[in-house]
Amino acid sequence: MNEMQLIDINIVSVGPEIILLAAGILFLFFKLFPAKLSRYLSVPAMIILFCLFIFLPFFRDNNVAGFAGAIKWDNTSLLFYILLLFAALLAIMFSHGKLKDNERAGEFYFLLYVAQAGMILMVTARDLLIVFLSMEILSVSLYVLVGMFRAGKAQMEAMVKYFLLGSFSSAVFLMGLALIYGASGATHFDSLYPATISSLHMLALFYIGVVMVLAGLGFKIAAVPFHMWAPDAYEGADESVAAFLAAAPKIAAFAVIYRLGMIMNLYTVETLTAVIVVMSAGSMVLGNLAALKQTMLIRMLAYSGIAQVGYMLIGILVLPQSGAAALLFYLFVYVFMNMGAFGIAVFLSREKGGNVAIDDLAGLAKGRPLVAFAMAVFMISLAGIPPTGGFFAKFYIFKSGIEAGYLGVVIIAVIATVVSLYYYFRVIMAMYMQEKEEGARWGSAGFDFLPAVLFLCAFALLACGLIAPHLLSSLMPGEAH
Amino acid sequence: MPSFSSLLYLLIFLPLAGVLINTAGIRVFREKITSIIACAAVGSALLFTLCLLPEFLSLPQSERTFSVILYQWFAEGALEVNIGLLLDSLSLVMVLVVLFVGFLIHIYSIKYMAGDAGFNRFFIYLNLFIVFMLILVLADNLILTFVGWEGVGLCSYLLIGFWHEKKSAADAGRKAFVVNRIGDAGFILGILLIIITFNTVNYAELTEIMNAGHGVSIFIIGAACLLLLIGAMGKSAQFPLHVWLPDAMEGPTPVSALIHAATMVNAGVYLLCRISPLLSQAQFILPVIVAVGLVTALYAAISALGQKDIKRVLAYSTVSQIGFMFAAVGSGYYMAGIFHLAAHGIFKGLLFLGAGAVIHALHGEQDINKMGGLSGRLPAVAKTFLIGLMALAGIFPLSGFFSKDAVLWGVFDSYGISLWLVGFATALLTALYCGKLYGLAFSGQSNFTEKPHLIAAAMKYPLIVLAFCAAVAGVLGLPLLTKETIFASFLAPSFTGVENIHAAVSASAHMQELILMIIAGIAVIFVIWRTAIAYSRNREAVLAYEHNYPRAAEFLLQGLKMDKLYDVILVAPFYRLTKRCSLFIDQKIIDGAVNGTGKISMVAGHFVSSLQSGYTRYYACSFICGVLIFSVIVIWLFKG
Repeated sequence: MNEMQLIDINIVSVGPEIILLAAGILFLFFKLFPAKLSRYLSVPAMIILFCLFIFLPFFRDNNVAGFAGAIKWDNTSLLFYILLLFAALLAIMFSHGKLKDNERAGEFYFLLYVAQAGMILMVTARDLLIVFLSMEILSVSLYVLVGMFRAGKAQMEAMVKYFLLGSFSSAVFLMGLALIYGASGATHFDSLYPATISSLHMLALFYIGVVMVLAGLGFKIAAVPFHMWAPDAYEGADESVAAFLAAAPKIAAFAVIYRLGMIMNLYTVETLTAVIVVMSAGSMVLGNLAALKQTMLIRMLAYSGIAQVGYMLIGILVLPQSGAAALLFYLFVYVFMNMGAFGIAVFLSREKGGNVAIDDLAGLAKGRPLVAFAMAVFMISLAGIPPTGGFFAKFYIFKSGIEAGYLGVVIIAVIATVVSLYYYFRVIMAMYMQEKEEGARWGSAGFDFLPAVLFLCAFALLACGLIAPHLLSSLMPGEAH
Repeated sequence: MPSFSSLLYLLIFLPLAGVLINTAGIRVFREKITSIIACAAVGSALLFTLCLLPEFLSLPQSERTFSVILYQWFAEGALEVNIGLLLDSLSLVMVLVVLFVGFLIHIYSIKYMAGDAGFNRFFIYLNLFIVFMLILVLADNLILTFVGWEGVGLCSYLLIGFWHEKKSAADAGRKAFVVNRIGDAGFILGILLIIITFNTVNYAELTEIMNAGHGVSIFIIGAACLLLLIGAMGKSAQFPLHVWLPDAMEGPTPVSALIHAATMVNAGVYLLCRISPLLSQAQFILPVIVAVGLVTALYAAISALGQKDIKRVLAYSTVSQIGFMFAAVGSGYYMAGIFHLAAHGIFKGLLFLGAGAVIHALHGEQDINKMGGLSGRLPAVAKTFLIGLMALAGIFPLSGFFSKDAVLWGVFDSYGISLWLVGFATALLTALYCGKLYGLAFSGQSNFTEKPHLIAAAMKYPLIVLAFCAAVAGVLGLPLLTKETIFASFLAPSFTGVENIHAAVSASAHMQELILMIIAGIAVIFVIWRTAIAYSRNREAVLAYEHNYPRAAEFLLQGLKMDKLYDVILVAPFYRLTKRCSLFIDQKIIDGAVNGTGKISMVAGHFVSSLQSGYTRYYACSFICGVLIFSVIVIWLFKG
């Protein structure tokens, strides 16, 4: 790195992170106040996140850079940023009921904000070291979040497991980083072109380094074979945390994978294409097959999420071309449909307590028709059936995959989609065709915050289906660097 | 003055707002609030159209088109589909008919449906229907038209089965649904063929292509027209796809008036008019349309004679009159077809509302043989009903006379005297069942002992307004004995292939037309008068015919047993086929394959989930194996 001068530190470029951290620390102080106050905490927490949308016009088309180029905002990072804000907003809305009278609410928002700051840093980072640093900020807060609300043995086990495996993956990532630095002498994305490496041995070392970096990121997106932690961690965590865990870190990690591809043109190299193909096909096959057998809703959604990552990785394969917009569109839809489905789990566990089984959904259509309708939209969208956004997301990904010549992967993806219909429709069948057992009750039919949010998510998905092409063309990244 | 045309989308959004507000308040709103919102939604749209009218008329004739593109729906290759609205003289007439009749029927329904458990639901469906109908007629491309087309079909299905506790109502809804699917299949295939051939579905672009040299075989254009014709036949209940309409009378009577007489069932005629550029190239399709129209007209008029239920008489009559419209389109006289459509929308709406008033007054009695002498008890209904019947029969100077005359002349002009005779025979039959209906139900002795309900003002005034319009709308068909009537010259810019209306008509043609018109006019008056007298004075003697020939009467009652025919040649074999299929193909082959796949997936799923042992060391192992395998892949590919 060049010698840094004071003027290179552009504070604005980390503006959102600073606000998040400051606000997060303020939240910590709320423990000093009466516990009753904590029920109103979710309101400022949401408002602050809303305020972060203010940065959009500042960063748009401006290519704000800071820290001697280690951080850079372009329009694509802005899109990832928006997605992250949506995910965090939904997570706060989901946790609202849980945290109403919980004295640990302040800590929860602190951790969520720190995680959010880490992810925003990840999205804007242009240096592998910064990526590693921000990933650690994210991970550490996630470890705590996973074990936060549940004190049972199983939950502690899930948290420890997640912590151990997460540290393991960080170590592998760091090892890959070291190899890359050793081979090329640089960590900044702009200086990492494989073509600059002359020696063949060094190039091999460089690629192995990239594989290890990808493994670290693959852990975050829960792609096969780095996915094993996901079902256990989701199940152990509170549902609202699981919803966040299953969407936000994936967005951030995909941003890094995307960057590596766009700037370094990595995946045009045949060797690395093969790695992505294996990861993608493996995730689709394994995720879908394992989801078939699940009886618990969260575990089913965990495997379904693994499968969804497999589809998204096809977009990575086609990166410099149409894949970018298709991937972004998929992520956009994914935030709403996946978090929405988790939101239903939040709703059900609130009504019923404990872990939710798929059979617990029986009779939901009669008891709470709007909630059931929202869930049906999420499932239909996850399965990729029109007229939802999920259909167009798959359609564009598959289309770009076929155009780039990855017919084999797309065929696997289509077959995997067909298999996935089974478990998605099992949920719809349970809601609409099964009677609920005696004694089970759904809460009051009056206005309720959570169902309204879920309904809005479903509506957004349907709207995505209607305006898909516009969304897609507006998501086209304006520039590569 | 603000430009209304740029706000064209309001036409659709106003009724839509009614739907949304009423849906939000479905559990809360009282009947009064719901009905005010629903009527205001349609009324404001009607008002908006009337405000639009001066701006529209101030334009020179050739420029009378407002088009608004809301946004691009999707684009694939060269094909672009917009959410765009097009208001030309054709769609303006349709919009006016839909909103005017629709508004009156909304008001009428307030009293008719009062006290029904599904009152709010009824008005939501009714508004929703108006929304989709407006989308249908205002769409600027085939695909958006299809959206409206399916939407009105959905509302029709929901409203026919509105009283779904009644099995016959639910069955009728299902029948309408199934029969319409056949037509819709034709429509979709037609759209696809047009997309493949011309790469556009926009009406204006299609017209341009047609006017330029396009080099597409007329047989392909003909095939597309034929497929769209099948779609039109399904929606407009044309022979042999008409079987659903008489059964659709199970719905509430205002629905029959709005959907199954005045608006939706005419969508087929509208569609054929919209594709007039295609039809003008594929001239050989026109005789097919005439044949369909006249066969339907004659068949339905005969069937109407034998009906006992007042609504079914009117239903068959509707089928028959739409047959007339098809005949006009098939003769190339699109304007006459639309003129008859508008006139028919008004007087048939009137007749259905009148029938509804009668049924309401008689505590739900629908059998005309059990009615009689109603003119004394329900004078306002009887008078307006008589005006409606005379308009339907085509008596001078009511609107039906002008429109029917225009249609008949069109048929004569294009196909000669033999087909004119078929149309003339149908007109006589129409007069016959009109006379019978009035004679049996309204004049003569009263058969009904109970005291009839009073007719509320909200039900009476729509009848009077419609009767007035039915009486005077014929003015638009002036001047007589020319092709260039007020109405036709207003509509002409919307069509292709109608330039000949400006051509001078020879003196001998004038004479022919005059003679035919006088013959038809006098014959019709004579027939309706004699039958009405016969049925009111010698009721027993005439009805005795029916008792003497029970099989013939039954044959007529069942609409020449078309349902039976369908049962024998289609439904029964289809059931047998499906049974075989379900036994052999489905259970053995498909189920076997599906279950097999499912089983394999399940076994694999079981194996895969068993990998998830729960031990952290295995998870870490999988992680490191992944890294190693990927590294090996990279090195291996790198070397090679």
